[in-house]
Amino acid sequence: MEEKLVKTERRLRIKGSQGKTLRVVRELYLRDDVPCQSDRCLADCENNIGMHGTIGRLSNESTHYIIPDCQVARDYLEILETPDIKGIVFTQTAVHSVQHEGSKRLYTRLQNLIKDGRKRSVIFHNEFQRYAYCERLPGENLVHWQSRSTYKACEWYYDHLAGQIPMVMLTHNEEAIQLYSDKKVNVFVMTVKDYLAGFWEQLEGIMDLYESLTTALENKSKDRDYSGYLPLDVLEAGIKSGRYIQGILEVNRHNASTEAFVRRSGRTKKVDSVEDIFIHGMVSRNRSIHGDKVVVEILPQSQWKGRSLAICPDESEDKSSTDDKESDSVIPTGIIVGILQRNWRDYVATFSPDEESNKNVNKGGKVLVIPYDYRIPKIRISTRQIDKLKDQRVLVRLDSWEMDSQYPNGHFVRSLGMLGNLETEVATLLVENSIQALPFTDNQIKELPSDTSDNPWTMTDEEISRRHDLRRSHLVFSIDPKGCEDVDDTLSIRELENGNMELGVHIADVTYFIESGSLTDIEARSRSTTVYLSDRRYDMIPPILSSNLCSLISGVDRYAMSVIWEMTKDYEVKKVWYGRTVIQSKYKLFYEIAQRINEGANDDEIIENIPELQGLDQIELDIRLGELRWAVNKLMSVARILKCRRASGGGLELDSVEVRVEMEESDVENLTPKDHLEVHETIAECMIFANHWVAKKIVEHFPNQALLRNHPSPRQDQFDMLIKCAASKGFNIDTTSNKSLAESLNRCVDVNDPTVNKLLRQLAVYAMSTAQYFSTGSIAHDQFFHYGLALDLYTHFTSPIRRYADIIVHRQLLAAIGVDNSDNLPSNKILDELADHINIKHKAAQNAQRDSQELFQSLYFKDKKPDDEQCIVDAVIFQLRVNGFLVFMPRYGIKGPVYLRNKEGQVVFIGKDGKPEWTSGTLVRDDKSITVNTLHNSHKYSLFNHITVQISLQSSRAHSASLRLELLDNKPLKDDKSTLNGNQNTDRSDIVKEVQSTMIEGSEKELPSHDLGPNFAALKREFGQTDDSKSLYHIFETFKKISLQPL
Amino acid sequence: MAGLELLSDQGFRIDGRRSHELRKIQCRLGVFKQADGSAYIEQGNTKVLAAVYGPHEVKGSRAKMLQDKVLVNCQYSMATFSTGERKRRPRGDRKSTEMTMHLKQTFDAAIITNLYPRSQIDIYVEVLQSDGGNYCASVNAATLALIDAGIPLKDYVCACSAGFVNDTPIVDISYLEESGGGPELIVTILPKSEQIVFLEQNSRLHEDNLSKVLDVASKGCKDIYAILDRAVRDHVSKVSNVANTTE
Repeated sequence: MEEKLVKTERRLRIKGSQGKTLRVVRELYLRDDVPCQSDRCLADCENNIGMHGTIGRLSNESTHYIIPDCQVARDYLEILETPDIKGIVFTQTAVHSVQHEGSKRLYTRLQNLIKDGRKRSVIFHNEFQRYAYCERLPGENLVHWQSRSTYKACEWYYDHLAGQIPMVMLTHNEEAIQLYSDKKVNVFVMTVKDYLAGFWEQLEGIMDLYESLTTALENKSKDRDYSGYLPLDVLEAGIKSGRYIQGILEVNRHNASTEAFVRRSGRTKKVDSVEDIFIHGMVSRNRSIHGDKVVVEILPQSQWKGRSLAICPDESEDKSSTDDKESDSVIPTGIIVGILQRNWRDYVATFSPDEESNKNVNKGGKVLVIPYDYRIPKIRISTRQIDKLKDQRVLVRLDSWEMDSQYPNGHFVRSLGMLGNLETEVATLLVENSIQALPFTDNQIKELPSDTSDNPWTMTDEEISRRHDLRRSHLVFSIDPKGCEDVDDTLSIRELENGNMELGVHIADVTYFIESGSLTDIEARSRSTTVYLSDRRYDMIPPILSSNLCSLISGVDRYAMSVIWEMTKDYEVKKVWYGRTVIQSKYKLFYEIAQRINEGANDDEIIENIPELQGLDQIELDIRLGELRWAVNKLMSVARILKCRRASGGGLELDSVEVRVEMEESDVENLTPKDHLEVHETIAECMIFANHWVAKKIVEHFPNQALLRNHPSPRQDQFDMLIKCAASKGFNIDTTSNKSLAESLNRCVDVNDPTVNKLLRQLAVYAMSTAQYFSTGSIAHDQFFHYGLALDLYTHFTSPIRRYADIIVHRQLLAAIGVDNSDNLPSNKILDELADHINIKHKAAQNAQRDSQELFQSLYFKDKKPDDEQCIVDAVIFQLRVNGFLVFMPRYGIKGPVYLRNKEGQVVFIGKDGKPEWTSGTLVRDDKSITVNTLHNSHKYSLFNHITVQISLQSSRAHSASLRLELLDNKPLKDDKSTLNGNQNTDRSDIVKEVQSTMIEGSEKELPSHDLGPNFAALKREFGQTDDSKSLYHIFETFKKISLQPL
Repeated sequence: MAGLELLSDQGFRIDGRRSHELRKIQCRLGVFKQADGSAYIEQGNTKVLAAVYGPHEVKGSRAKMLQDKVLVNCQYSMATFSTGERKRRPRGDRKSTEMTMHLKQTFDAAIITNLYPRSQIDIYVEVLQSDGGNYCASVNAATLALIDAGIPLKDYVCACSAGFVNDTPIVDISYLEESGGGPELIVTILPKSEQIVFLEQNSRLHEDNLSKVLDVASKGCKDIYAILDRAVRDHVSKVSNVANTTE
């Protein structure tokens, strides 16, 4: 064994802690068995070592392998990151160079590139391979040695693979090219430029990217932009001693040029009770950008500043505005003294419209672009294509920010399309939320079974024999929204012979189809969740699984993961069984009919609505109807008991907190009242129950590496606004525990105004912290609980089709019950990283969803005339500010600011004739109301007052368009009864529907090429969840039509 | 220095070893003529000399003398040139004193002490070059020297260290790996009976992982045992050949 290793030594000079150079000798073991990690390998390299098994290997489909040298790996990593360029071998030499000569961020990107199984790229430990290692000769300079090592590695690869595949070494070192290029056939040495021109000519935009990278490099002057910051060791010492504080910079979206906060990060990972630090102005922000990890020095108290209280232009509701401080109170203020880690992503930007700034551009000069995100400063890029790109949205990346420069430097990457185009705007919001949604690749589809009419997918007997067969013994059915296609949960209930009750929850067995580490798995992991936008969705797993093989449709045999409880008559759980099963769903019910069955609908109504019951003879029909009625009734009664029990244990009566928090606050759908049926709760309760029990099981088996979901208790100070608002209506809110909060919310009912309770509940939702996934090994046991659901353990198990967390949980459950071995399960460290990744992706998906709703809102109001009946709505005041208030419009479920004072200092008042007028006056604000005093009269606006506002669109070139609200009247909208009884709502929707149908006709005539047919049907299936007359989906669909029409 | 990656995703350590591989071990017995027994060992770049004197009568204060067993006297010292920065004093500092005590405890347990009551055995250990695992190399060298001196031992005494990086136990950690601040477990065992003579742990290690790391360290000890045993057998056969030819 020892013979395999050859010991050599490496002499290094290292700078010691006192600044002395130390001579260090490190031993180095050379070996023959460094794996080449190539599928073409003829020698039997142990290629399966490593974290991802067979993934992350050089594929045999590549026509050549690329070995970049150190300089290229550092400077042109971005080109290597292009998804099309595959089969890259990074030598250990290059990786070290990236790590030590480049930045930490660059190194992380390199690591991510390697980890991404789709890139088929590897790190080759050339310095450990006996025949690829070159010793650094005495006096040899570093660059020379690096390129010699790289070339040697190239040669080694070529020889090792017996010349099967040409190798390409990328270098910018002219000397190396001359020296090595003719040395060996099929081992090419060339520059990146030649390589791209030779191999990737067809790849659009890659040359542009290369050019812009090169210019950005040229412009990088000698002194780095870090020089203005304190050196790293001083920062680290300062952080340790408590003199400096590290944290993440968060810029206030509504006042981006002056206000920013540093959210402290430190030992306590999730709970941050310490106050954020205020950063005032661009100077103290010292070139840091939203999201960067920075180090702050707190200023002496005499220099502390307070934040402004006025609602700034474009402010809508956001979380940070809830901590409503008095304007004269100051908060800890600091300046940024160093940056630990840049957190730059891709930014969408637009060229500024004024000609002035673009004059010198044609000469190849610099031009400023305005990022879509308000929080990002303008970026200076150099481009020669200004004429072409003037009216487009473009993708830019940041390169550096010089000390002497007002704006950061960046480079142009690609164009997203014309401004105002729907596709462009959607692409924009995907980029802004860092969501990548490319179509699934052929290789991924190939891994999955196919199901076509001539080659239908069937179950194998072998697999069936391994599973528990429930097809005959259990009555399985699903209850979903009408028209739902991807059914991932089904239920069963029956009475056992001993009188006990058996409740079953059966979930689509996605893990059977998606093996851990397969390409589909990697893709699903990187997406983490299905992203739902208003008019489309981006699936997490390919449609063959999501809407076919994994969907538990009625009448078809399907594989499932089941949790089955045996309960006594008092509904105490006696036994739980977890395992893989084969099921056949008998009925696919929808909520409304299930509710009707429970209410005792007559036979005809049931038969009419359940296709599975049609065409049976009378006797059979009676039996089956009886069965079904019993099952549905029993299920609902069981769920009732479960819910009661949870509620009495402190369960928050905001029963849909989990759902709401997930959907984010501005989910329009849950603001426009939907019929809430008891059966909704039944299903939700069953799923919560299943999730809870699965959590129990996996924690028991994997106390240190189970994926759970927790929901920390909210900070008490977050409730301030809720308590203040409630107090204005005379309600008292007790926030000491989830139970008391729920109870006091239930008491807050104003008989005359149902919006009061709704608004208060929403305010309560804002106060909540967000629920998160975590690995049990990474936080203390007492933080596992779920506040909203009042459960000690909770996880996600029931929707593996659209959430990756559920897939992990499925695998863990399988290992826990001994069906699968637990070797492939992620360890605590990997799981912790994964949980963070999933949390980030979920947040991004929610933000994208919200942004897309806002996008459609603005499209909806785009062409409306200001006096249009649809633009004048009733609104409720829910928060007061210095120069106006925030309102909620029940009709659209939108929130927004209304100004009482404009920039010129004039205030608005309602004249005798009922028309608003701007005139000089003053505003007086107290706890519960704001009063407008003018010469003529004074008006008082209290919390929860109803007013009338007019909605118009404030369009913006570089940013997303926003809605502008103007006060029309201080009384409720006269004929508006919608908030009181909801009838109006339906009437209006009818109008929308009419408009919509004419739109469809119109657009189909005018745009015959636009393929609306199949697309429309698919979308309808996906989003047609509510009754058409009430569904927001249809309203949004209208918006889409509007935008498609030529102007 | 940006954080070094102690264990790469491909399973290589900084010096090119895999997690279960020891450093290269080279050793020689009988390097000095004056001492009763002596040995030299290299574990990677850690180089240690050991010399054993005795058993002989108790020197110095007779109060130290033990009536029922032999007095084991150890001295651990590090050459001033053994580390990157020249050391001030070779012995007598806290670290060396502690190490001396550990060595004494170890060999008290391994030597069959009741054979030589009222006498003394001296073990002198000198670290010539230090690159992690000083204690382990010292124990291994001292074992060889004791064998060379013909002092009866219960068994070979083998020591090996193990660390824990990225959820993987790594055996025989070098200076660089030690200084990373991760957990370190030092184990000394009697390989045949697998009895633990000495166990030391630095930094925090989760209880669940202890047995994994311990297994790896004992496996390392047994590997070292195999190497030491071969060296002893080679030495003995060489010595006997020399003896035979001279006769």
